[in-house]
Amino acid sequence: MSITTENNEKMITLMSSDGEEFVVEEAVAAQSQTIKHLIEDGCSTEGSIPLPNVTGRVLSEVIQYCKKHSSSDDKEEKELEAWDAEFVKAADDHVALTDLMMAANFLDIKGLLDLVAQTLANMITGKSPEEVRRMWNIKNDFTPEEAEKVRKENQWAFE
Amino acid sequence: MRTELVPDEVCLDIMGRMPVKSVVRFMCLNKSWQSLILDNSLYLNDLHSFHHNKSGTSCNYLVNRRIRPVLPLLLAAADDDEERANDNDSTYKGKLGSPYMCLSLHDGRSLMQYEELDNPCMGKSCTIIIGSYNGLVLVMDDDSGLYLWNPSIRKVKALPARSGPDCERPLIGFGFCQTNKNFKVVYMVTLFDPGTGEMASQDVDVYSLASDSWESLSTHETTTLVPLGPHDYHCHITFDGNPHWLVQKKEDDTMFIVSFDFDSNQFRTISKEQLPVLYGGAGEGLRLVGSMHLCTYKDMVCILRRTRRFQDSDLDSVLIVDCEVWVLKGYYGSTGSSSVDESSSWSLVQVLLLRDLPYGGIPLDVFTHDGHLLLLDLCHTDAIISAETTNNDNDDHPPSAVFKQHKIFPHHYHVEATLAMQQMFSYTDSLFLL
Repeated sequence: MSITTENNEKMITLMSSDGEEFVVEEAVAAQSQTIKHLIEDGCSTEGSIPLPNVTGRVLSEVIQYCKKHSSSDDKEEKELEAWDAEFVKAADDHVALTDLMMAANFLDIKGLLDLVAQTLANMITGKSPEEVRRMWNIKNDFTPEEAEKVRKENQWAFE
Repeated sequence: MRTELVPDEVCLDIMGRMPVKSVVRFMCLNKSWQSLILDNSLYLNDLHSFHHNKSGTSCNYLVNRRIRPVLPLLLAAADDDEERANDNDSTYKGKLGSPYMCLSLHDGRSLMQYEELDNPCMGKSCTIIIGSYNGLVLVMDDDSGLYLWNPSIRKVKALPARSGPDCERPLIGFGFCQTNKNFKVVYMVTLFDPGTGEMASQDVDVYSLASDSWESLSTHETTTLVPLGPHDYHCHITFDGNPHWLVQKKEDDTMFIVSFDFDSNQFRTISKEQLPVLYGGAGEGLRLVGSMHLCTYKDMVCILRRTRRFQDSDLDSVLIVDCEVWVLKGYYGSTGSSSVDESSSWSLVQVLLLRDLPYGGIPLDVFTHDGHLLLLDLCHTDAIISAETTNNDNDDHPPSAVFKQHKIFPHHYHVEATLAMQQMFSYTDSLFLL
């Protein structure tokens, strides 16, 4: 990832949970409300900001998103939408998207959270409970009788 | 996804973006999903709500997050040919178990779907829709029994009986108290002395869903408000959480709009300004017959004024049927404010010339979010027409409409008879009553 400092923007360093360091413009990082508050509290003055909940792989994706969205304030909304669509497409599967969603939630980046949540919602909307359980490794802890009862009460939702 | 690591709010955020049907289905994933959904159904409800209010005024019950561009519409369906032939009752009011239909209209555009729903009145006959708000619909059966119905999750709740007297034309209103997230119903009964014709007594009861009980209010206001027309006439809407009626004062027949504020439990007169006149200049040799209907148009209180013009010489010849859409600009609801904003005024925003339709149409008194009036096609009874108007900022010349046909009903449906009486109501998907 190349880092530019052409407009003398203040740079800060973010450190992922697995020790990877990212140097980014403050304006880019500050799209995360969490980081913004850390900067305001003076956490960025001494070395890097540690982000214990985000791995380097996920953080690099998040930074990619923040860069795009901080540099394209006045750009065409359509172009940004197309970029967003490509971005979530590149994340590929629900596991990567879930990681991204967790990071967006922790870092408090509203735009990214909306984007990923909507993508995940679209992904599982038409799925059966069995498929979703398989996707997310959810253990079914209903007894057969309980499961039958829940299903019966809301039979129409399964048709 | 639902592991120890994923916060509940992340799961809820995702579910808030899914159709209610999927959310209900995922209650059976496991116990923690089930309790998460049940515990947060109110919160999810907010997430599900969406609105197209670009001006950002009023309707604060909705979280400003657009989920799906879908406007489900509700109406009664008539029965099929065979049953219809056996029923010569001219006061055709729908029958036992007659299905309701839910129409989904995507963005007011081409795609319309319909889905049949069971009669919510638990086996009783004749359901009239009184009102619809925030995902719940208030319906009434033949015996004046009231039900709160959530059509999107097929749940229904019968209201307990009131203890007070009843009358032929009660004023019934439905709404939502935003302060404590509670659905409420107001029921006003006015009894007249048969001899003198003067008001004998007035009872106002308010139902609260949270306590599931009726409370009788001591009335101090003694205006005789009579709803303009029967329940199916569309003289009641819920606006900004509070019921609004188009009423007529019995004493002098003046028409106006009143609201009931569920916070202060008081009636209020809305719009001091004169309602748009019903009978205007008809032109030479023409006679005007009109009716007024209360609706909501783009988050504004609206009166749909229908006019039929007859040739004086031949009363059977309906020459022109026009619809005028008048909105109350500057009025954002009566909650909280002690007095109604005096600056609100009526303005004409649309004129629909139904003469442009080859065989005419019946307005269904419902607008899409884009402000398109929906009509029943009198030529093809399997179709709904949306009257689409182009954007026009010129107030002097309201835009004329382009009519677009949506074929949605299967051919055996004969919807016209019921629909003419029972109008359409819109509702949003919600998880209330889950």
